[in-house]
Amino acid sequence: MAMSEQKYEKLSAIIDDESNIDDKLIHAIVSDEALRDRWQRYHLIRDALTHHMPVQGAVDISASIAAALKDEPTVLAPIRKRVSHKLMKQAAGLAVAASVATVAVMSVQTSQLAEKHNSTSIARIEQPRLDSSAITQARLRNQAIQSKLSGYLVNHNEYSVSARMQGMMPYMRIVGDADNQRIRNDK
Amino acid sequence: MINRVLFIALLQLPVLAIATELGEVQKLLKKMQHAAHMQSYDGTFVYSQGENKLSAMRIIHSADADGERERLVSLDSVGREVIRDAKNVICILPDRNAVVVEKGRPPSQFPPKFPEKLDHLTGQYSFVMHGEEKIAGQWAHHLVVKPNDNFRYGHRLWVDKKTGLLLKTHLVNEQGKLVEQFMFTHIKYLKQVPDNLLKPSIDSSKFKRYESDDAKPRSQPVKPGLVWQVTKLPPGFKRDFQRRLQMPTNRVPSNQLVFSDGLASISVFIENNVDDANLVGKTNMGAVNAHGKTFNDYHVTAVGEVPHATVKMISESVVLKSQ
Repeated sequence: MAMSEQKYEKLSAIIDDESNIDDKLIHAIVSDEALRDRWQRYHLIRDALTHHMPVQGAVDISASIAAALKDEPTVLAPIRKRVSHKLMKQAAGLAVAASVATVAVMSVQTSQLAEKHNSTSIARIEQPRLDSSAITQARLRNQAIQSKLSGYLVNHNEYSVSARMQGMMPYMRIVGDADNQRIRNDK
Repeated sequence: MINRVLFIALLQLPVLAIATELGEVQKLLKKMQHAAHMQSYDGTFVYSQGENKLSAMRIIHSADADGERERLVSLDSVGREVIRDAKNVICILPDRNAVVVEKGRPPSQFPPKFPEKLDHLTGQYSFVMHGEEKIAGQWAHHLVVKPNDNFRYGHRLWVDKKTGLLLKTHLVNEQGKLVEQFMFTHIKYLKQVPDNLLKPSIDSSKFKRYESDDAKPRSQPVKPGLVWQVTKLPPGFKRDFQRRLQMPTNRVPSNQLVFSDGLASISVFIENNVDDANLVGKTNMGAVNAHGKTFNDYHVTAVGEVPHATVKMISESVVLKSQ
C-alpha cells in the first residue's frame, strides 16, 4: 500500500511536471496496470473537463508519454515554480474525481483563457506535452479556477431546489452539450 | 343595508379569488414535484442556456418499487449517455471509447421527501395562472412566477394538466431576459418502463472502464466553537442544508452552506485560502451565477441560479463567528 502511495506521489509529481524522471518510474508506469490506469484517468478526466478532446488514440497515452520522456528529458528539467506545482496538483486532483457529473460538466472555461489563447494551446496544457515553455502561470491558475468552479457547480446542482422540483432533470445542465457551457470571468 | 353587505362582499371578492388561485398554485407545484419523481415516461426535450444553441436530449425516467432510474441520451453532438439509479451513475463517452462509473452514491430517498410548505414562497414571488397551452401534444397549465424583488429570477412553468410533469420552463433574469429554457417536444407516459429502454444503446463492452475509487473525503478538524455565518441574505432565504466535503477538484475541504427561498437556491463554498487559484469577482454559466471573495485566510464562493447581485451580496457577507 505504502509502495503504491509512493508511486502515486511520483505520478502526481510527473503530472506536476516537476519531477526528475527516471527510467525506473517510467518502467513502473508502463508495467503497473493500476498506475497506468490512473495515469490515463487523470488525462481522460482532464480532457473531459475542458472538452478539448483529442480526436483519436488519446486514451492510451502512457506509451507515448514514456517515449516522449525518453526523447526529451531536458524539457522536463524542474523549472516549475512552487505555485505552479500547487496549481497543477489541483488540476491533477480533479482527475481523481471520476465523477460522472464532473465529467459531464466538461468545459467550464474562463473567457479570459479563451481570449488569450487559442484552443490548441489550451489542449496542450491538457496533454502533458512536456513543452514546459507553453505553460504559463496564468493559464494554470485559470485552469485550477475553472476546475474548482465545475466542482462547485456539480455540488450545487446536487442540492439545489430545482433538483427536488424537477427530479433528476437538472442534470441536463451538466449533461448537455459542453460547448454551450462557458464560464466568463469578468472580475 | 343589503347594499352595504353586497358592497363589502364585493370588496372581498378579489381577495377570495387570489386566495383560491394561490391554493391552486400550491396544489399545482406540489403535484409537479411529485410527478418529477414518481412518473414514468419516455420523452424528448430541447434545452438551451442564454443565447447558446439548442441541444436535444432523450430522457427515460422510471419510478417503481426499485426506486428511480433514469437514462439521459444526448441526441446531438457525440451522443453521450448517462444512466443513473439510486446508487450509481454511469456515463458513456463514445467519443472517447470510455465508460466512467461513479459508485456508492449516498442512497437518495424514495419516494423523495418534498420541501417544506410552499406557503412562504408567496412573500417573495407573485403567481399568476395563465390559462392552458399545449406542450408536446399535452394540455398544460401555464404558471407565471414573478419575483417581488431583484434578488431572484422569474419562472414560467408549463405543467402537464393530467400528470403534473413539468413540460416546459423559462428562467427569466432581472432584466426580463431568458437565461435558460427547456421544453419537451415529445412525451409518452408509461406504466412500466421496459428494461431495455434503460439500457445504453451504445455497445460499450470494448470501452475502457473508469471507476471512481479514490474520491475519499479527507477530514480536517473544524475549528472548535467557530461557525461560518452568512450575515446578509435576501428576504425569504433560509438555510437548507450544510455539509463538509472534499471535492476532488480542490486541495482542501470545503464547507458548503445551501440557502433557498423555496424556488431558488444558493450554495456558499468556504475553504481555507491555500493558493491564489480562486475566483475573485464574478462569473456565470448560463443561468448560474458565481461570485468569489477572498478574506484573509479563507475564500468564499457563492453559486446559484439567482442574479449576480445576490451571490455577490451573500459571498461578501460571510464571517466566522463564535457559537
